[in-house]
Formats: sequence, C-alpha cells, structure tokens
Amino acid sequence: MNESCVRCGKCNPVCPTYRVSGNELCSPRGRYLLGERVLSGKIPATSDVVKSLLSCTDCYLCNPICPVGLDIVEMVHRARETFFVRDESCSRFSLSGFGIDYKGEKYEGKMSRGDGSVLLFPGCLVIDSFGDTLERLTELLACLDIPFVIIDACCNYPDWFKGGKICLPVEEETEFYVVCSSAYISLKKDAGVRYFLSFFEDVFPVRLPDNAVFVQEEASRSLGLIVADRQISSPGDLLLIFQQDSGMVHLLFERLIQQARGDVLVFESFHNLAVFRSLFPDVHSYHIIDFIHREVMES
Amino acid sequence: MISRSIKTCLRKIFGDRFSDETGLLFAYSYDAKFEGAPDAVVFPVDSDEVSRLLSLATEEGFPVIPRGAGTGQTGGSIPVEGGVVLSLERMNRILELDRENLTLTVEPGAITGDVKSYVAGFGLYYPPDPASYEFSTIGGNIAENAGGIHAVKYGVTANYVLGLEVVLPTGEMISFSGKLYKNATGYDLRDIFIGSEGTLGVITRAVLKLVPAPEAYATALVGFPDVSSIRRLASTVRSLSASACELVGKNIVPILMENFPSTLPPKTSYLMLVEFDGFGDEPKRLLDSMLSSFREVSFVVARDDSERERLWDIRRNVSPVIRANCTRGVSEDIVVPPASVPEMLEFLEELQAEFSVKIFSFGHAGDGNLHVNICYDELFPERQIEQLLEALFRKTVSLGGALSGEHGVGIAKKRFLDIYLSEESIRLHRRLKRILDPRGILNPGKIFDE
Repeated sequence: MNESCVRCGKCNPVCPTYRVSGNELCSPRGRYLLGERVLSGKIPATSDVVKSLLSCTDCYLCNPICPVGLDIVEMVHRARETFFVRDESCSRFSLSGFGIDYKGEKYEGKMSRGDGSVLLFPGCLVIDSFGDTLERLTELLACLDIPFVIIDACCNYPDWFKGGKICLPVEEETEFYVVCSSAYISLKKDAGVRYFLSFFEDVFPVRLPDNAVFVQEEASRSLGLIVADRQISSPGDLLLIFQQDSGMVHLLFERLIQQARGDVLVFESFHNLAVFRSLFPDVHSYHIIDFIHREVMES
Repeated sequence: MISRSIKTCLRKIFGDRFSDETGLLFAYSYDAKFEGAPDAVVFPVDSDEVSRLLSLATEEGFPVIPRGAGTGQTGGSIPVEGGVVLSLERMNRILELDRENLTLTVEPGAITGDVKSYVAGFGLYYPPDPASYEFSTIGGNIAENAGGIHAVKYGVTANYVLGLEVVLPTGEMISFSGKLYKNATGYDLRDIFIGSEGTLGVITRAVLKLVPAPEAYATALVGFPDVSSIRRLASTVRSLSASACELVGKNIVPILMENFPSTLPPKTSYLMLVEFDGFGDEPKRLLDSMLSSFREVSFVVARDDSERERLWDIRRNVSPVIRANCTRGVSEDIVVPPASVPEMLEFLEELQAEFSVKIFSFGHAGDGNLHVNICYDELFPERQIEQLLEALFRKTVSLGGALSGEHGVGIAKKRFLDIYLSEESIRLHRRLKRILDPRGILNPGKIFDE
C-alpha cells in the first residue's frame, strides 16, 4: 500500500537533531516532506534544503514511530541523491580532521591475516585508527576459538548515505562479520552481513563500571541486543555531519553527555567515537570491545 | 508580503534565528491538516523578543502566526495571509517544579509528554492528554484548550493553568495570576487566552497545576448490544468519576473483532473502554459498582497490567483501522452534553443512510466528545460534503452541543461558526479581538472573520 505522510508530527520528538535544534527543518517530518518535494522537483535544492537533508544522522529512531509505516530515512537518502555527486568506485574519504589521509584511489580488497573461516570486516577507520581495539578483538576471537580472516575493504558508507551501493571483494551472500556499527547499517541489506557483537551474546549485558554508559547504535538496536546494563541511544552516525555542520554535532554530543549524566561514554560506532574524541578530548570515551575484552579475559 | 526593511528589523531582533529561506518557509507552511505560505520564520528565546516582534507587527501591520509543534488539526498555526511564523519551539524549558505548591512553571514550547514524564518522576501527575501529547507543546495545548482521554475525570487543559504570562498583539507583556488556586482580584483575564487559538495573545510562560499520580487502576472493555443500552452511561461514569470512558463505534467493532478475536466481549455493537484510577481497592470497587448497574452489557475485565495494556491496545488500534478503511473523508470532533451521546449515535446512523457514506465514530463518550470520521468514495460530490457537515453541526447544536470539543475552529470550521455562536456572540468576539489587536495582526483569518 502506498502510504503517504499524514503530517501528524509523532516522529519529531524522538529525533535527536529536532531535539537540539527546535527546528522543523531538522526533524523527520520536515526532512521527509522536503525530500518528497525535492525528488518531484517542486522545491529546488537550495543551501538550506541541502543542509536540512544532510542533518539526518541515520539513527533510525523515527521509523518505528511512524503510524503509517513510512521509511523516513530512506526518503532522505533518495533525496540526497539529487544533489550529491555520486562516485561509482569504492571511494575512501578524507578524514583529515583525525589525521587520516586516504589516497582516493580505487581500492581492491585483500585478505590480510588470519587463516580461518570467519570473514571479519573491520572497515577502514578501525584498521587505520583503532589498531589497539582491533588487536583486542582478534585476541577475543582467538580466545573463543574462532578462526578468522580480516578483509581490508571500504564499506562505502560515505556514498551509501547518499543512496549509493557498496562494493566488497567477496562473493555475494558470503557470510561476513562487520565490526563497525555504521558499516553494519550501510551493509545490512546484503544477505551475508552479520554483526560482530553476536559472537559475544553470552557475556551480555557487559558489566560496565558504575561511571560508564553504553551508547547504543542502530546496529545492536536493530538486532534487539541488550549489550550493557546501562545504555542510552546514540544520536546517530555523526561522522559526515561533522564535515558539514560541526555546530550540530557539538549540540548532539553535548546532549548525549547530558543524558549520560557525565559518565564515561562507551561507543559501538567507531565513527562516533572518532568524532567524539576529537571534539571532547577531556571526556573519557571507549569502544565496547575494550570492556568485552576485560570481561572475557577475567573469566 | 513583508518588506525588506521589516526583514532587516527582524534580523536585528532575532539574528540568525530569523530566516526567509526556501526550505524553512516550506517547513513552516503546514500543520497536520492545512498548508499556507509564510514570508519568514523567527525563533525567539525569551518573551522580550516576542514582545519586540509583536510591537513591530502592530506598528507595521504585518501578520504574526504563533506556532508550537505544528501538530494542530484545524490550521491554527498556518498563515492564511502570509506573515511571520513565530515558532516557540526553542522556548521549551521546564523552569521550576514547586513541590510545596504542586505547580510546574514551563515555557510554551515544552512538549506535553516531557512535562508528564518529568513530574511522574516525582510521583505527580499532569493529566491533560490530547492524542498528540507526546509531540505537541504546552503552549499549543493551552491555545486550543486541549482535552484528551482523561478529561472525563480530570478536566481539560484550562483546569490546569494557574498562571500565564502573555504578550499582547500590541507588545505588552502581562502576567495573569500565578500559583494561586483561588483568585477573586480583578477580572479573570487569564482565561480569555486559553482556547483563543493564538488570536488574542502569545503565551510565553505557564504555571501548571499538578495532582498526585494515581497508583491503581481497574479497567474493563464493555460491550453494548445497542444504542439504548448506552443510556445512563454518562451519568454513571461521571458520578463514579471514571478516569476514562472511550467509545468505539458500530462500524469499527467488527473490524476490531477480526484483529482481536478472543479479547472482545460477545454480542457487541458498541464498545466502551472504561477505566477507574486511584489508590488501593477503590478503582476496583468503583468499576464493580459501574458494571453491576448495567444489565444488558457484556464485559471483559483486565486482571493484571498486561491485560490492561491489551485492552488499551484495542483502543489505540482504532485510528489505524479507520485509516486502513477510509481513503477519503472528513473528521470532526463534535461535543454534546454527555447524556445526549446515544441520540447523537442514532443520528449518525441516519446520516450514514441518508448520504450513503460510512461513518466511523469513536472517542470520549464520557465527555460527549465524539470523533466522527465520515468516509466516502472518489465519486462523492464536494457540495454534498458541505451539506453533510452542516447537517451534523445543526444536529449537534440542537442537542445543546458545539462544533468542536478539542480541535478548535481554526480555518477548518470557520464557515460553520454561526451555526453555534449567535450573532451577538460573534459581534462580542469581534469587539474583544479589536480591543486587544487593533490592527488585526495576530493570527488573522482564524475562528471568525474580523
């Protein structure tokens, strides 16, 4: 059935960007209706229209609320396609804000280490910037006797959020485990995709120290995982918003810190962890792997 | 149209919280039902900015349209003659909880659901619960005098507004009353603004009344075989102070029977969800008393919290059912004296037959406030819709009722206003409006023509 937006506004208060901006342009209802009109050509993609459509952080908190079952996030992505230049190749993008530079050439994936049957897909950011955490993950897998192979490839998230498709150096429907929660969201429609946290369900909820709170992304939420005994919702994936509107990212993270009531933040998204650390270096932040590692090693 | 020099003045007041860009003008052109075309949008952060805006508007003669969450059903926050949309969304703070006086002071953009959750954490209750409460604002609720499911026991928004700070269309800021439960000092001007749909003043602060949160509930789904068995329902639920009395009308029941086969009471034409709230055994005692006073009904009583949730799910399913079964139609929220509900239901049957439409009715039977969804196919002529609505409103008024219990008049019901209000009353409305808003700049084109 072709449902259309009934403009009830029920989606608005669950949206982190609406909450911090108090602006209908940064709300699910506003972006959905604007997206429809940009796609039909009724409204031109002026700078405030573009900014509005880019302000969605793909947290997916709005979709389940919609009483007519619209895929609000998908509409936003489709609308973005109308003004973004698409890059057909597997492109890596510059993260110069974090001291990471990519060459921008088309990347051919390769099997880099391990000799086992589980395909592990950490993603570029994890391999290049979170080597310690990746080591801990591989130690955990060794502990659990899970033989793995690491695929070093790009999930193409930067293109996906504009409606693009990813390209992976594996055959279709091969099962592989994604490590970054943002990569999982961009890949999850593929038949073979799994999320690495499912290896550790026996240790959930992870015991966090009293002054820590887990920031749950759509990845574990969509799988119904209760990862830690104290968890709050992420405002979504903020990496690309960071490059467009750092003011908004600041507000979203400030709100997150408020919700955490000043506790240490434990992320499952490497994107958000990277951006958070660069903006709030004095607030302690970790990845959940660090605590799962401690939990498994101590038992 | 707003001139460039006015826009310059607005930029001086609001800085980057003024915009006339394409996307923003679109985003502030709609509410849940209507569309308009603003010339600019401003986002004040305090009442001083609101005051400066309205002074300027009166001086220059341009329209200002106050807006909360933009979830209204009757076009109350839509510009009909262009102008500046005044969004209160950023004035959204909860300012003070006074646990001694049981009051909560809030800014108008505070979301009602947030207010309810906040006070619940302290064992307190802000009862007004319009269907939109999770996403509409206190300011909008006050401007429309919003009701809700629990109004049958607790009353409407007006019953919970102790104090208001309002900016008049001419720019003066006035505070009305405060943390007082009684006040016989001067005219009660506060109440003029409640339900005025943003046409007499802009609410910039409210002091809300709180009550202790109930702790126990007794809930039943009651099946009535026919309209005559519903007589005495209103007097019974009102004298026992039921906290909810929600009707599900005849055309909706068979569809719900399919979706909830074993949960509904047998032999049902009309369903009523009845609930009592309070403390200890009292709700159960009151529910038993109510059920024993009706002979012809069948009922299902919730034995625990999860059964209670399941009964409420049935009520929550009503709107989706109507949406799925009604591709084209109009929806009204007429209100009659509660004891006249059976007669109104009989009339709706006649209306359905006379015009060959399908009517889905549901809602707050304990208040006499029914949501009437009239559905018709693509071939139904437009002028017949008007005739149908006129017939509905005339019958409503003849029963001592009014056109709207909760949604307001806005743009939607303007043309029918004289069915309910006398000429003298409409003249009085206009005189009052002229006194407060001499240049007619605040939310023009709503409720009545000036």
